Amino acid sequence: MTREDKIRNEAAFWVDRMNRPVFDPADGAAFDRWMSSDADHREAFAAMAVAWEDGVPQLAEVEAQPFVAPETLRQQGLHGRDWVTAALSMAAVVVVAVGLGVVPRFLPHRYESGPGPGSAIALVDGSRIQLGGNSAVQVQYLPWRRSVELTRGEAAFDVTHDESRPFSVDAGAARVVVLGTAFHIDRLAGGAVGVQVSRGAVQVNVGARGDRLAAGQAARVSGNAIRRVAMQEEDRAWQSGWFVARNVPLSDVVEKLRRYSNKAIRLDDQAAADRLIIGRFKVSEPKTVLEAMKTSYGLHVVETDDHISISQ
Amino acid sequence: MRHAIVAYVVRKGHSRDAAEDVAQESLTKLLRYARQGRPASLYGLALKIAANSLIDLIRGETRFGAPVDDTFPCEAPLPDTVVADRQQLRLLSVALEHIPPLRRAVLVRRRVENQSHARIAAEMGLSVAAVEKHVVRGLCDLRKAMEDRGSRDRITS
Repeated sequence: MTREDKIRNEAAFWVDRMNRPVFDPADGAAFDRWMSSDADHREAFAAMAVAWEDGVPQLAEVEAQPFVAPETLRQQGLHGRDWVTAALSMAAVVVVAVGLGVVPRFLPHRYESGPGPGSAIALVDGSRIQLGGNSAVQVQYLPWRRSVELTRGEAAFDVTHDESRPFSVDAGAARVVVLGTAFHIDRLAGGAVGVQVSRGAVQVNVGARGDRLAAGQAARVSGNAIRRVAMQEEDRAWQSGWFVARNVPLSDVVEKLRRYSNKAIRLDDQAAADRLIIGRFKVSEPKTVLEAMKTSYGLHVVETDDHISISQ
Repeated sequence: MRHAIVAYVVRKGHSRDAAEDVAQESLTKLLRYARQGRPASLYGLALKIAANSLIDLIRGETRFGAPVDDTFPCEAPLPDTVVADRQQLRLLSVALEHIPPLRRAVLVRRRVENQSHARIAAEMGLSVAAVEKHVVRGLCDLRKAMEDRGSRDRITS
């Protein structure tokens, strides 16, 4: 082992030690001796601390990229839910036939937004949905449950607590079950779904798996996997029209652009769709972003009368 | 002590001037804390204070600068930063290949999910000592990959 390797090892050892919630006072004294004995130790520790603080989270981001949602699983999830929705609608229709005038409000209601900043929806129980651009939700309030389906795009939810009527949101294969809380769901490319919780707690379920997210936690669901990701400041300010891409596939960035673009954006080229993108983008101005893509990533962007297509 | 803080702040991507300022401020605070009772580690506390000062610095809440406007007109991404980031991404991807999957999983659980050594050990069927070893070796692997990038794109301003 070279001297450099030895110092690097020691630095990693100390970074691990110093980042524990509790450490032995004897360790503290030993760390101080190690740090004060050599300037190279201090440099190595500084570098290792940065690898720990910034490098490891990036590593986790990179790792998540090759993941592609298995299509079959998504379809199964949809089938199941379609059946339930259909059954409930049928039940509601039967009741209407009996002649109760209040029933129609139990029927699912669809809200949709065009490209742009989106719109706010106030629900009867005081809950609020902030719908993103080019997004759609279907809301069904029943006496025993409140269910929402995010069929397209993204939305933030501020849910009024009601223990007798659980509030759940379906987004593709993922189901988010809510207590009184505020959170944001984003349907990404390839069937992936992002969930960020700003207040309270939610339970995220996909297939048989589940994970409970508390305030300040975020997860990304792809296929049948739920992966924790670090919540970023920008996630809280998603309505600003900015999107910070941290090693995300181009298809996700395009998904964001579609929320604001008046023209359809086509991304038929798989190689281009998989390109990993880093940068801070004003997605509420799709033209500017596409221009930046051209110069920074060498992508071809062709605009016709009715659509924009992107390729390698 | 000053050197430890300056080295850390510079590695975090800040200018030498900012690093000197953060070091000065941190040492002043450290003296105040140390008077209340000797901490387990002076260096540990000093770096913790420096990290907090850096967060304030980024938020623009200190004397170092005015608050950052939420809507500052930054036409991101700048092509040069994109190139640097892509390079970094490639290197991290390479690093990934060199870190065994188990070790990666341990490292990510510890750092990103903030799980304790004991919990990781229990859930992954490892001993606590093995978890420790994976964290230390994983960090070394990652650090090596970051070093290979060389000093050419080290941002110091």
